[in-house]
This record gives sequence, structure tokens and C-alpha cells, in this order.
Amino acid sequence: MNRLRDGAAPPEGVGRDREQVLARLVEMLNDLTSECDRGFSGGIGPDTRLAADLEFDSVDVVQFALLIEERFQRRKLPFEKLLMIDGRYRDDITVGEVAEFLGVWRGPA
Amino acid sequence: MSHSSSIQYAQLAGVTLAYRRLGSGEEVVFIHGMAASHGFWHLNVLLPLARRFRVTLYDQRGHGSSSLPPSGYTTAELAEDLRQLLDALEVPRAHLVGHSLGGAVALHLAAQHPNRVASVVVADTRVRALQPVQRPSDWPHWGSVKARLAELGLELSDDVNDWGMHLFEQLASSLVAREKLRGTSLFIPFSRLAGGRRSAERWLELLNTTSARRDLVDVAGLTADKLARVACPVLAIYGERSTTLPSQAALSALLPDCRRVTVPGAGHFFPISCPDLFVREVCAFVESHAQTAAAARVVVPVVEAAAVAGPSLASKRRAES
Repeated sequence: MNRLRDGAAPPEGVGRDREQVLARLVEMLNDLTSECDRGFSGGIGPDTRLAADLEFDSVDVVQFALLIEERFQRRKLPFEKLLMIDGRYRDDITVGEVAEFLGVWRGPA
Repeated sequence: MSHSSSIQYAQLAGVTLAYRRLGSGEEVVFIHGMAASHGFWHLNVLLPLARRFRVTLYDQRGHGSSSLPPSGYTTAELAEDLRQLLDALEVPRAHLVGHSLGGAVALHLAAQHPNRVASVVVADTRVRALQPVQRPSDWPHWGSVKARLAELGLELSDDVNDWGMHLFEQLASSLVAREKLRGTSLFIPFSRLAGGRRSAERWLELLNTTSARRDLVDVAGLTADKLARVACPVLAIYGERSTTLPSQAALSALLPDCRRVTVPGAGHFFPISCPDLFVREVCAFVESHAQTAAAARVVVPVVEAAAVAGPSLASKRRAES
């Protein structure tokens, strides 16, 4: 069972939306990382890790989360369900996991 | 494009401070405690607050990515650093949220420059003038912590005053000397998110190469008389099991406008261990003392521009002194 879905039924169209969501996230991350030296030369894709590959720290992740809420026009997305397991922060997350999270958690527009 | 979340540096008189800003709305500045850095403020505190407010995080002098001057570590001097940072950021007046030492810095600025401070959240701060002695033996929960320290091979005298500083020094020394330590809740200032081993090394460097060891235990003019002149609203939020709890009662009795909140069952690091209650209290407090009517409970577009990145803390070199 998918951990992110937490027992909830996925909204309709999740599979179809996922590639679009992923493409928008990659575009956002390319914008975010283009003007600084992150030391990451590979193309950003679903397996790219925010911390290990893009050198995001916790404040970068907060800013990324805020940008997602603005660009996807959703408010108060439960990012803690993506970033924490059993009350502890995960070591890292991939871009694909963020896309999957956005497909499941629609949040109020 | 702006870089609202990237780390930036403010060149002030005698010190370079690292800071980051995110969100928009009421100006809220977070001040970390002794031995920590701006990484102390975790995601589940920052995210809900940055949805509502313009949040500024910074590293106090000698901490994190800020420079390490040889002196200037009293709360009076640290408050002057903050005043200069507000000047550099062109922030005329801000709400201050300070944990531990950071709360004393906030109170000092509010006492010295009341026109710059809209409100103060004092989170588990020992106020030296009001709680001059802080010994392990005075704390009802010392036994369990002492046992955990013993498991790590650490020992602290029951009678040592200012034991927080000594404890952090021992923990930092252990962390630097070993690969990994168990008992992580004791090590929050040196947790992975807060900089890990590098934070521990920085704390030892600060104690051993600067006047910090002397300065940080100095009342530095923040007397009861001066505290009584803090007229802005103050939220004194303390952990029920914290060693600093006597300061909360004393502040409440002294300050003209002080809301008192105790976090049930929590210790000194409740902003991390109980973030939901902390966030709820801080949001309600800041919104109730908002400087602009539009700030109250309005979700604002929080990102200034697409380019919000900058070199992360992990990839940055420390600012030059």
C-alpha cells in the first residue's frame, strides 16, 4: 500500500496528472537551482533527491513547499505526511515522491 | 529574480551575520539559543509560520554561518547585532521569537529600543536577573537526565551553576570525539538538521577562542528594573519540565503585558518536540498584535519570485570574520 495515500482513495485522474505534475516540479526545481552552484550536473528527474543531489536543507525545503502551494494554487498541503515518518524527519525525498504526494493531497484551492 | 530563501550576509559593525527570509506579511524574526543556529527552527515550525508572516532567520554572532568575532557575546551586544540587522533589512519594527538565549536577546532589544519591537515571544528563556542560580540539583527532573548522561559516559556536577552551557560543552566534545551518539533528544542543538558535528565544533571554538564563556553568563544590564520597562506584549511560553520555569513566573509578575503559557510535559526544546502547540500560540499571539490590519489570518502569496534558491547551508563556507 502506498504510504502517502494513508488509506485514502486517490482522486480521479491521478495517474494522468502525475506526469504533468512531475514536469512542473522539474521546471520549478530547474529555476530554483539554475542561479547557484549546487554541484549537481545531472538532469532533474523523478529519482533526483532534494538533499543528496540538490543540496537542499530544511529551509530550502520550506521555500520549495511554499512555492508549490503558490504555483499549484493549493493551501495548507500536509507536507508533514511527505516529510516525516512516525514523528521523525526522513533523511531525503525524491522529486517523484513530491509529485505523487501532490497527486494524492489536493488541499483547498 | 529575488533569492528570498537563499542565505545572505549582512555586514554589520564588527560582525557578519548570516540570515534568510521567507514568506510575507508581518515581520517576525526568529532568534535561536545558545550553541544552536537558524537551523534550530524545524520545518514544521517554519512552514506554517511562513505561510502567514514574513519570517527572518539568522545566525547569532559566533554561531552557524555568521562570523566569530573575539568578543561581543553579552545579550546587550547580541541585541545590538539584531538592531543593526533590522536596520540593514530596513525593518522598522518586528515581532521577535526567541528560544532560550534568543529570548533574552529579544527582551534586551525591547528594553533598549522599544520602538523597534512589536511583541516578544520568550520561549523557555532563563532570565539571569530573575533566576540567578540554575543548578541541576534544583531541578526535579535532574535524576533521569543524569542517568542518561552517565550512559553516554558524561558527568556533570549537581551544584554547577549555568549548567546548560557546561552540558552543551560536554555534549559537543563527545560528539566531536565520537562517530555517533545515542540519546538524541539531549543533542537538539547539534542534531543533523541543526548542523550536526559542525555546530558542535563551532560551539567549542566559540567557548575556547572568544569571550563568550564570560559574556554569556553576564546579566549585561538586563536587570529587573530594565525588564520592567518592556512595555510591548510578551508571550512567555515555557516547558512544564524545563529547568528555566522559575523565570516564567518571575517575568509574568514583572512585565505589564505578559501572557503565560506552559507546555504540558515538555522540556526545554518544546519548539521542536511539541511544534503544533508552539506554532498555534505564536500565530495567535502575533496576529493579535499585528501591526497591519491585513496581516490577521490572511494567506498571502508567500514567494516573491521563482528563484528562491541559493547555496544551502551544507554547501556554504562560513562568513569571514
